[in-house]
Amino acid sequence: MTNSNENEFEKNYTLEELLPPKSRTRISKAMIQMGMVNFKLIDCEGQILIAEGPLSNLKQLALAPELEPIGYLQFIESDKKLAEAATMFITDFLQTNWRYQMASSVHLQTSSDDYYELLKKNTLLEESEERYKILNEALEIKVQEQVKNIEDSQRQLYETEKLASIGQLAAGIAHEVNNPMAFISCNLNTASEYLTEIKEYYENFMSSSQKMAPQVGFVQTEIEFVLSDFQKMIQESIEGAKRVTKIVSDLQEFSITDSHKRRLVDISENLEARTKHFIDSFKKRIRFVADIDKLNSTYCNHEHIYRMLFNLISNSVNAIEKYGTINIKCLMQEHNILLIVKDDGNGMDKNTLEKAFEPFFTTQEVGEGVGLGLTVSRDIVKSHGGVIGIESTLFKGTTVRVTLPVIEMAVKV
Amino acid sequence: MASWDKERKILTLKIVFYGPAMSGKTTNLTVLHDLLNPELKGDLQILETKNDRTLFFDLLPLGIKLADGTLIKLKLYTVPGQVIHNTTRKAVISRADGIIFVADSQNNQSNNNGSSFDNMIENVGLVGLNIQKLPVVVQFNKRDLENIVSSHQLERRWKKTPWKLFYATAINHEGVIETFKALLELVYPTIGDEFASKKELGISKEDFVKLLVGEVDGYK
Repeated sequence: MTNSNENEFEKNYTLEELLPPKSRTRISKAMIQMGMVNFKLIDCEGQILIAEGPLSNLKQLALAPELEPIGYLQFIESDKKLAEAATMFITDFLQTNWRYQMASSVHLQTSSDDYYELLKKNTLLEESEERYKILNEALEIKVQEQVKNIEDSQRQLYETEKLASIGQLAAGIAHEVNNPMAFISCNLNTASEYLTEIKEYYENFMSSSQKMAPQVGFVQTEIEFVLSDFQKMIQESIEGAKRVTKIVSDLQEFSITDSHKRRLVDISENLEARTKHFIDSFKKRIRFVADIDKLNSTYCNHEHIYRMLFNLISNSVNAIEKYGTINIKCLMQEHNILLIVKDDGNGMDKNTLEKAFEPFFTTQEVGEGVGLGLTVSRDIVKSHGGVIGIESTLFKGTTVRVTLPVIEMAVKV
Repeated sequence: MASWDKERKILTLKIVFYGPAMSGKTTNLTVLHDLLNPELKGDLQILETKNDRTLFFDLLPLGIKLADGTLIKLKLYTVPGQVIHNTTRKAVISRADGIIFVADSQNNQSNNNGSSFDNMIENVGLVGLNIQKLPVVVQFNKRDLENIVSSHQLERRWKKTPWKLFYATAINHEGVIETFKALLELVYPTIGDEFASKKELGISKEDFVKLLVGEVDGYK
């Protein structure tokens, strides 16, 4: 920007600048044709620009296109009138040239200022673009960091929740396993005592020559009691061991993280076949209404999904004391799979409903249910990114709704 | 910023008529050319116009000679008012010694006046001048028209600014010289500041204004 130097167009132009050589010749010729023979054009420094004829005893008129003279027209006294006229048109010519010079110089200056300004803007633009690029990259890294943070904290949260439920689970296991283990070990102790008695009896029997019932020790009735009680105890222990085995197998399902078993499956396809056998065994007292639409295939562990449905249907069966209806529905809702199991059984009160998902919470008689069905079902749904909800009214029935997002690509879970 | 040509003893001062397009800057200059009567008065140089709109600038040179032979040359410039000619405006106001802001009094021109005034302040800064110290007066022109903002309202609007308001109808020669004289009075002391060390200005403020305006017919 021109803020310290004077603008070119504001300078004081000299006569030489305003009177180019070509014009000088023409002006000189014109003046001769007007009749002047003896004249001179000089600038303020005395430099001669035009000279005609002998140059002595000349008078002069100032040439001042602006205010102060920038040169003089010298002439002889007899040419005074002509010289005055010539001064007028030369001055006019100088002014025209002056305006022209000012216009071209201001034009040149503004063009170059505009150009310089554009260059500056362009540089700034490039710089800001560069900054934007860097910022963008930094932002991307930040976002990735944040995403990782969120993922980490989510995982931590998940782990914490898992730990909490494992704690809860452990307490349940302790209770559920201790019980059968207590009577199994009690039975085994008694069994051991019984064995000693049987051994004694047997040895007595073997040592008696007559091979007949010994007269001392156990009487026959006693040994008969031992044998029948032994049988009962063993049976009881087998039942107890079965219960423990059942708990352990349920626990295995409870710890489902095996995403590698997932495949792209349409859940509706084998649903009827999978549940048919189970359903058939209750056909006499329960009416099953299945309303199964074709579903979009989704990446899932279909064994787990069927297991979950089986759990839900099984719960419904248990909720119906005598006769009733169970509705099973599969449908697509926008991009989600909706699975509904609805019964008109006993339903649950508020307290029961609140605890329904808790591990080892069961309304059934001891030995009939472990109380992991809904817990496992919920975990299966969760591991597929879905939600499970229960609506229930006491004595009216229960509806369980499972919503699963359709996953079209195999992703790590 | 006045420039001093030591060899030729010429002190050049620059006054700029600023303002929105069509507010009457060139008319102000024409009227000053017609009315003023200083010792030296050049021709009004109208550089280039397109449909009566200034493309570059207009220039009116005035001058007075002091007893010691110094020539005080006053160059009055107008700027092109149209928004697109901003670079030219910047070039013209660089090193200005004073600015007369010519505003259009019409109601519908308030916005144009405002943005032109803001543009002037911005450009003053860009060319390295200090708006706090630069002599500026404001002239509201075209007072003869209907639908103009009342002087009462204008005074209320401008009350808190440091700039003096003047009213003019330039085409009827009214108010032009008053505005000009007011600016000369503001400019005079700044010349002293600039040149105190280099040159004692051998003229009083009253004479400075009086000589530059000269004997004006029908003007008190």
